[in-house]
Amino acid sequence: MNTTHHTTRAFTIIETLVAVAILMIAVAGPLVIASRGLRAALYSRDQMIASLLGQESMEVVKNIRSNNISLGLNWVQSLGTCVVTAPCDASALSATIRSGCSIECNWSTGYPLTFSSGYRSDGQGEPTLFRRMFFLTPMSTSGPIDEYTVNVVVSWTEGTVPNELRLTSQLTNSTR
Amino acid sequence: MTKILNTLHLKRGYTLLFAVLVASLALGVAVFILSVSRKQYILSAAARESMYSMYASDSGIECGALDPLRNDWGNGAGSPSRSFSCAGLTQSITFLRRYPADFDKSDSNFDKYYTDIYGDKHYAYVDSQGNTPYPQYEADFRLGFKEYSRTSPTSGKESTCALMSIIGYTTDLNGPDEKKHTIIQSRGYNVCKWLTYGVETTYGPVLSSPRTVERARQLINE
Repeated sequence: MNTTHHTTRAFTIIETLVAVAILMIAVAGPLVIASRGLRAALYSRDQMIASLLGQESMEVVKNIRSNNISLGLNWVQSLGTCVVTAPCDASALSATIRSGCSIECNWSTGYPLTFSSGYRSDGQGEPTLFRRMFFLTPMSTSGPIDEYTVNVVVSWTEGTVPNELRLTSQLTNSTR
Repeated sequence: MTKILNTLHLKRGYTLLFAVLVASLALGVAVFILSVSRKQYILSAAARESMYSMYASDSGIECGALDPLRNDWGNGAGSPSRSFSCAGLTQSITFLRRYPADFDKSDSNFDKYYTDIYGDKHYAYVDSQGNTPYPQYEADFRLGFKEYSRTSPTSGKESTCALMSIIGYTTDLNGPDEKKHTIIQSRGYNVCKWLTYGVETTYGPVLSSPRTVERARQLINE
């Protein structure tokens, strides 16, 4: 009777070890999958925010162009100085274009955006992940320039991974 | 003794069963999270690609709204050619006169259309009153757009493209209320490359790509 009982107990220990091994493998796998899934969800959210931030800046630039033309001003007034070596930022919450990339602004990633009643580049509110800038590229080198390419760059960092969203559109001296 | 052994036999396998059940549950939850996240990612990527296409079509409208194309497509006989510069490229486009006989194909909706050398369909323009004015002058061309960065500040890198149609017609020709009308249509695409059509090579949309999104805009000057 004793021999049978010992054999049975040994089986249970082996069974438990196998079960623990299966659990370790079977739980670690799903945890990794779930972790990647959550990271993808965060990236999706940030990418969506970046898309809308880029769109905001582009629309503000186009709005300034249209206002300049309708008021009879130089069509790129307050925009023309925003070139690749001196990028600016345009926000719907700020009345003026942000220019003069200084100490807090990185020329390759742009102006840091803060959040207070919306994303803004004038430093008000809480810091966010995002940075943004835009610059104009002239499409001709001589005579009056009637066309630029507007380049909006929104960048953010997920952990240590840098991400960037680039938005491009033509801007011409024309009315709608 | 038989009873004790039977009881032990019945209990054996319970731990393993429990482990498999817990593992299945964990796997099910993880797969569900991954599935939802994957859908979120696809949705956000589609929104981003759609935005690229929208600004490509907007760039086409910006180019089409320039004066040489907007107001100078000709009047009367002939097929006028116009040269214009936009998006860093100077090109010559020809406005062709279109009469009802030119729209020689029809689709399931019985709308008349013709196909150009690229295989794109062009329908007869119908104005806001539901009339189809003839002759219609139409120029079809393609535009490729570049993005610029600190590493390529002047040469740029090719990105999006647009298929353009500029349609013009005149009402009350030679009459007291003569007026020119121009319709600028721009279809923007996010996935583009250099493609050859017969003897012509242009930067155009890759319609076979599952990533391709089309966004269109129309500027009417009626």
